[in-house]
Amino acid sequence: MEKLIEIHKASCRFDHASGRVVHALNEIDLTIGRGEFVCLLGRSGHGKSTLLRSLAGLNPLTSGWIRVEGELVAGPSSQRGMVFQEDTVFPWMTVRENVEFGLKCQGLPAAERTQIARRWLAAVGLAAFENSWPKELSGGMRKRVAIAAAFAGGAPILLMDEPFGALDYVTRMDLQNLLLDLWQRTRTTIVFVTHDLEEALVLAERILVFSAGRVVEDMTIDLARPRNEEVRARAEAVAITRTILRRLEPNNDVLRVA
Amino acid sequence: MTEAIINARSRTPGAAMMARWSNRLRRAGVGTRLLELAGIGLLLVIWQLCHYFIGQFFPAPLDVFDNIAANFWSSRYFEGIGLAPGGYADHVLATTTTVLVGLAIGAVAGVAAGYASALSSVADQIISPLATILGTVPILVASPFLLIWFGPTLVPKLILVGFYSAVVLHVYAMRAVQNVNPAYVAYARTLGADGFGIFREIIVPASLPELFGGLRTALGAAWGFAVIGELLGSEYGVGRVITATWSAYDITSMMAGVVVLGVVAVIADAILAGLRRMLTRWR
Amino acid sequence: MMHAVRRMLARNWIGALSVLSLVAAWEIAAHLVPVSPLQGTPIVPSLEHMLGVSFIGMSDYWKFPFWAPVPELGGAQTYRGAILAMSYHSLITLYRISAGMLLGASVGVTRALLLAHFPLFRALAAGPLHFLRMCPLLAMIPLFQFWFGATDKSVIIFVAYGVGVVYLVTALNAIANLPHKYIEAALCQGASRLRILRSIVIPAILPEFFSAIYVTLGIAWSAVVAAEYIGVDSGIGRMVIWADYFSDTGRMMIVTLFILAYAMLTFAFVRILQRYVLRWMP
Repeated sequence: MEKLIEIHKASCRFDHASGRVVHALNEIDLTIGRGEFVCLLGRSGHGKSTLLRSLAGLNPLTSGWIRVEGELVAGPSSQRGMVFQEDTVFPWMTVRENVEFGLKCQGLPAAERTQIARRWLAAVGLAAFENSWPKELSGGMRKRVAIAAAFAGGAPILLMDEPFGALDYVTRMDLQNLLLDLWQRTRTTIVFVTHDLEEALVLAERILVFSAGRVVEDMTIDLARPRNEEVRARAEAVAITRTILRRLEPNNDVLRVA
Repeated sequence: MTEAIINARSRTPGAAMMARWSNRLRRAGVGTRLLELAGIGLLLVIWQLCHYFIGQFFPAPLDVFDNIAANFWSSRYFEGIGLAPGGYADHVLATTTTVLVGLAIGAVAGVAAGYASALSSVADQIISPLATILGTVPILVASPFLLIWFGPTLVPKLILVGFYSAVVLHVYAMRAVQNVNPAYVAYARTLGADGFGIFREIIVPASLPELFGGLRTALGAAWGFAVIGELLGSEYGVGRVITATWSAYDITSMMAGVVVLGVVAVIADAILAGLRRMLTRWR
Repeated sequence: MMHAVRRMLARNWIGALSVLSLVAAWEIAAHLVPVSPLQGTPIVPSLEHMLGVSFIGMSDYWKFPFWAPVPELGGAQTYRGAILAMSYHSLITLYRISAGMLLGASVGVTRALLLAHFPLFRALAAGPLHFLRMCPLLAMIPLFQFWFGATDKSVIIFVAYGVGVVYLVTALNAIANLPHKYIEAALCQGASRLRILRSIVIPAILPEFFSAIYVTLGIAWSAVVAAEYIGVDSGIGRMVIWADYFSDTGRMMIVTLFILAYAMLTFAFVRILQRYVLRWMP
């Protein structure tokens, strides 16, 4: 597979005012291929979000580097779309203006923008809401807007930071299916952070398990699709789950540091 | 927000340098206090520059400070231009008294009205239109009426300060009560608290921080109200100093009056802020 | 229109009653308090006095030799002259207040955006700004007059200064409170700094800006009337001083009512504007 993202000895440390030093990323080496759907899995505060934000260019590394298509990541770019866990749909723009925003930043003429935005809004099932204000939408619908905006920008890489974390179970399943559908159609490379094992099993082609700022397990998931919420019950999935849980055992990382 | 932009995007060399400097200063442990002091220094420099370019109509800071020092406790000069005996100290004391007494009256009335407005819609419908209408009358239009009605005594000044601070506090107190988390009230009710108990134990303490916000706003404005009251007729007070030195075309003393009052206002505000920290330690 | 008024009264009849009783109390006081022995004018003018003698008396302030007789030159007092005089001075004041507010808002917000971009400057400006905000505005009118003369310019700059400091502080706070996530989201979509300023920062601070407008409207009306009262020889604030000179409470009251009406109208205008501009707000 063609290499798209290369991460070399990426480290990131935060010096807290109290004098405590946290190694959020600890010399991570990693490559991600074009078209992959990678899930970063781990407990909170173990570096997966930090890596994603570094990939986006929102968080400078302390040492090491990240290259995308051979080019060093130095800051955010429209080449790497991002969907955040928080609601980042701009409340002062209509739904369509939100989807058009990235295209506007790229300098596309208005007519073309509108056309692309309408196509993506239809793809996420919000065609009827293009002129609504975000306040008129539910949390799940706003997430759809964010996804439409991310895809509309046409970035070859989409970074997702626990995007469905705040949603209810059923809505989350809907959106997982939507995302898989869009991924299969566009073959965009997706790096997806989650702490939900089932979500990772449903979505990922590859799971990277994070612990204490390191990738402690790198597994390819070749479970047959379509996968649904019962995926965990499959025999192969049980084996994967067992491996991952062993890696995520309580205090595992503390022992490692000691 | 700026940090994100600064870290993330290429920037003009000047801005980059500025950010690096401020980061370096912060890292070196130079507190915000020191930066504030440097800011005051900068203000003095700009003031001096204004004097340099504008000339005598914009007295230099040192001249103003000299003026304050020379006339602080007593002033032959003040008596010469028709002021009552005494220096800036006496006038500031008079203004401060007006402000504190007026604010105290206004705060009691305003907070009571605000609580009433928040707790009873009938009270709100009675009080709010009156407060809006009367509170909108510009103070300089209201003050001559008060002067005609009550003469050049302390009364019109106290009414001015008291009434306008009451209007401010009415709004703040009402919002403060409305913003009290209803879950606290519901919880207290499940514990068996009655109406007055809830008011005393939940609503009053929970609305206190916002009330202090209102009190600070009212205090900040009260100095201006007191000065207006004094401009129109008074024996003592910074407003009186400003009118007297105004007729004498003495810009230095006028500026000195404003500066003295500004410093007193800043100190009073700091005391109030400290008081709030003490009373709302639980925050 | 009538329908709207009737609906408002139905919903808020207690409020209407409360205002009416204020008027009634005034009227009763007018009949109880004696006429001032000095000037021969009532200390508390009755409604009848205000709408009759006082209002027509406003024509004394019509100084142009056309459209209505000029009482100063021996002409009769007329309602037409009164209305013309009121309109003339009102327009002058409205011009000053709007120019001052526009100037103050643009300078204040631009400064805030600049300051917010340079953390060092923002830290340096905090102290001076606090001090300037604490300096009583109305005490500075004489200074502004010395600096800019007793002119329109002086009044406008004074209003602009008074509201500008508030706008500056509000905008700085609003920018500091701006959710970081929006900036990051915009950056990840490839937004330039200018685009972020235009599409994110400015719309995001508008709600706080609007609450500042209400505060500054109050300040602006106070400031413009005060500046006219003390300084320049025209405007509705100046009319109060002309009337005050003869302790003519009736005329003072007429002017007060006009100012009150204008202030209420500007509040209502801003409320309508706010409802439209912030229609996206939850």
